Amino acid sequence: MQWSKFKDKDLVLSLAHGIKQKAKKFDRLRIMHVCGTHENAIARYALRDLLPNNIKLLAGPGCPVCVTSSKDIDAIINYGIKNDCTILTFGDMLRVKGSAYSLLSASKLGLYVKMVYGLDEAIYYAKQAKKDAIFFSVGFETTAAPVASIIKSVNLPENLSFFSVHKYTPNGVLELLKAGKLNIDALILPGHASIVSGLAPYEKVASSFNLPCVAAGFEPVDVLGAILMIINQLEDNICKVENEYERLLNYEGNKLAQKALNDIFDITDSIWRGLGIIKNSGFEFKKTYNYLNAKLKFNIPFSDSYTEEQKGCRCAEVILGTIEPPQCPMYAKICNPHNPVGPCMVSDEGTCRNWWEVKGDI
Amino acid sequence: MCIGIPMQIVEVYEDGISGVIEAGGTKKHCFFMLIDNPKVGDYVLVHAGNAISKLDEQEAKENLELIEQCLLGAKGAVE
Ligand code: SF4
Ligand code: SF4
Repeated sequence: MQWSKFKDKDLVLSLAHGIKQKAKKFDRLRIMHVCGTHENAIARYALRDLLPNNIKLLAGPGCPVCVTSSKDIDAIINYGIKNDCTILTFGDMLRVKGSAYSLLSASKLGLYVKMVYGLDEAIYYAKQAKKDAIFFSVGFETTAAPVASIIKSVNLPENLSFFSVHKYTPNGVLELLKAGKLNIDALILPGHASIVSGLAPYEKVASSFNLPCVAAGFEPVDVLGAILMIINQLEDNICKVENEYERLLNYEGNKLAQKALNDIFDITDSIWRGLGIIKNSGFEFKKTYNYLNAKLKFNIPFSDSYTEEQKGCRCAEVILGTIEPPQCPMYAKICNPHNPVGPCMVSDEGTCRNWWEVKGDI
Repeated sequence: MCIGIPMQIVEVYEDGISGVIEAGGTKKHCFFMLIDNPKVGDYVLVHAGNAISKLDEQEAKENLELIEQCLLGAKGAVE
């Protein structure tokens, strides 16, 4: 099989042509995706340039790094310093600011942090460390499920605990829609997060909010194919959940992953950066696993005063798709990947970062 | 945080739940707890050091057919 077919130029161009023709019937379509890797593909292949002006492709709250609250970042820094323990986490998390410090800049205060690529590496470091170690466990269900399955099957060192800020995409999207915070006509569903959750949880989204929902992969053919599928639905006045990413994703999702998640975590309310507390949108350890939960093990109170946005940063609006990055006055002037002011400029999946990589300082 | 490229299983350790995967000459350790029956030669999607799905050749073909069908609909509308 030639996977490269999904990048095929002729196919891409005919999809773009098909979209242009069909989109003529509509005044304006606002299509949102909720996956940082989609934004990455859209920016890298300049897919917005292939679309007619009446189709707006918006980036939603799809980057796990961007939606991690300052409150949680402040807390993990606090835990690390007060208990003199090592914080282990993914590289993207190191440079995202909390109220005043990022994990990296907090090393000036005496915090010891180490970047890891996954939990297996964190276990390796914890085994070597003499002191306590906390894994700052970030990510949507795509990352939460691997973490859960490793916890179930691998012997963990006693000095390792977890601070979970994992989030559950389908409920996050559902609650934002209920709150009227998303002004959109259709959704492109995350390809990889949906491998875990399956597509059933999005049925409510499609039916209650009349939104065509199409799960898509990350090649240009995937994204344009999904847009065409969405337009076909709108044309026929249908709003349903469809799967463009059949080669990897099935409707039921990954049962093993769902079981691992259910065994280890409960679904709880969770705080999303700039968006406040969202009901049933996070993963927290079940009571049986209290001994792994750093929030209980170290019993340090969270601070109630925290700052989600540095002065002038408009990340919350970027995350909700109400503005595009260049509309933020800081974009490219003060805020760039070398000096990220807000979280959206930090990770590869952040919207501002993706725009900057492609467009630079236009 | 996400690796979206298919990688190929080149070794499954005796424990059956871990092994080695490879893409473009780069080899990495990987857990297989989230997929059924991992075999050398399988293509998998890897996330945070775990294979979270198998990539199926037949389904990839059907995937392309699905897109081409949508496109036919679009062309039909154009003509
Ligand atoms: S974790 Fe998966 S679904 Fe989420 S942003 Fe990354 S690629 Fe997209
Ligand atoms: S450009 Fe920087 S400051 Fe502005 S919204 Fe993006 S990340 Fe925030």
